[in-house]
Amino acid sequence: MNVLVADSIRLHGTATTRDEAIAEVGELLVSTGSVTTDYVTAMFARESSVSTYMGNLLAIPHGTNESKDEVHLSAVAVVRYDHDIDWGGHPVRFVIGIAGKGDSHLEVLGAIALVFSDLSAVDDLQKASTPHQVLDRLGLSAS
Amino acid sequence: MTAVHFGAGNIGRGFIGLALHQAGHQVTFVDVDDGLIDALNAAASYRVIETGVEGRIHTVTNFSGINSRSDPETVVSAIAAADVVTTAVGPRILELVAPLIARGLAARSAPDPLAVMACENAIGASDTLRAVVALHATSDQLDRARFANTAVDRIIPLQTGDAGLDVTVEDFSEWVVDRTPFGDRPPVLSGAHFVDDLAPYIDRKLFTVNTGHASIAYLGLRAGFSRIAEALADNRVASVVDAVLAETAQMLVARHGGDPTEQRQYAARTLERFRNPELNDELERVGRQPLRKLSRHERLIAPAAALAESAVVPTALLTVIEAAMSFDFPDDAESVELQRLRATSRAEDFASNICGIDGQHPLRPALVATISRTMG
Repeated sequence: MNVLVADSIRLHGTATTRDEAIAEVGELLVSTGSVTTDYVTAMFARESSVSTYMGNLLAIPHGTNESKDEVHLSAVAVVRYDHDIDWGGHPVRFVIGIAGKGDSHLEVLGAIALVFSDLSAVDDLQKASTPHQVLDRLGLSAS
Repeated sequence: MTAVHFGAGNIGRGFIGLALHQAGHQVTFVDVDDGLIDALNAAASYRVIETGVEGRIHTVTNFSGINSRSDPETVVSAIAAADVVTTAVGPRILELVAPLIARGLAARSAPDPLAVMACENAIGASDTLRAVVALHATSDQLDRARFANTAVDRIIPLQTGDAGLDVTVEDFSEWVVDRTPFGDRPPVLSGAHFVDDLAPYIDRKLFTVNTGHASIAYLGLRAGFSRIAEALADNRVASVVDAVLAETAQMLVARHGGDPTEQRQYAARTLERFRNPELNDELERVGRQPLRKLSRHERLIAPAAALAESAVVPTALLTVIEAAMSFDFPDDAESVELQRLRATSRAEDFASNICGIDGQHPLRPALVATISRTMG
């Protein structure tokens, strides 16, 4: 599954709040042609019903179940921050927007969670200096 | 013995909850639907009504419900004390279940590990759940649970009328569980089949049930039918579907070994399931997302490619692939794209880009010829 390309990775995000961060990663998904702008609206809807904070400095904003038709291509976009984003009281440094077509959401979620459950991998991701290093460490690059 | 099951919908009550009950567990259903949770707490029993030639009626008792939105603390306590946790919630909900499981593990003092099984329509769902739980738990806490992948199969028809908690299901069900995470102490689950390798079971289902279902849909639509059971009652459709399942049986036995007679019986039982008039699905619904269904690792191309690799021409599967090319329903975005590609693309490019069959692959000549016949 072709889900992540270097164009969808931003190493120094500019958002300072949770909502700005959702908008930032949402714009990245829209700009790569993966989703419609309605999907970004659905990302806010999902966040307001339940937080997508996952632990270990990670949040994974994504749309609601109903919005999966707004996904053209399964994709993820990654924004890394040099500062903490306050995500409902938790510090977040990695915001990974997920757009899963059909039922592919679980596959993407599993791959991301597997990387972030390893604290040394999270440390490596914080030190990565190029988008390609992030790609390699997430293991989500196109096969 | 106690079990906590996430998702009190039709699959939860009519399949997993029933199996847990039959294995002797007191079942706690967790859901966010207030009406459902209130009904579960008010009722002493509900019925699972099986339709089909082997259909029976089962009565489930000894259960309760908790609303995870309004009462997460009670869910956490229930998990801390449970023997088994199962889920049937769907891909975007599993991540919400994970923090509750993590907190349940943190609060757990029972010496035996908790058995966790995600019964979702996805391969490796329990591995995914484990990875997400790991984000919320220490490694010591994570070690208090064993996560086992499963494969589940039971068709639940559209429920008609107001049956309350009762659920109508087909008379077939299969719950296969990977035994290896449990070592020599698997959980008590009489209705589940514990195996050392799930792959043969996942393939068997995908290339018999899903391949068969899609074949009936595409062949049936081409012959002018609109429902599964009526299409399968047609001899022309049924004879090609039989040939398709003979081809996939050959491929399954070649890949995983096993008894050809048993595979034939499984295929025959699958067709019997499809003939169940209560499950009479619409062909259009079954055929949706044709581009995904025509992709490399899916139900049609994957078995056709495997057969071609062992020098067998998969004639029946190619007949279905040809029929799938005519799938034309404006409501389905992939169908619209399929018809656009048929009108504007070359068969060679379709085979490479959509079906993932390119270069020197032995299926390529026959596949390209089949596709080009549909391109006028």
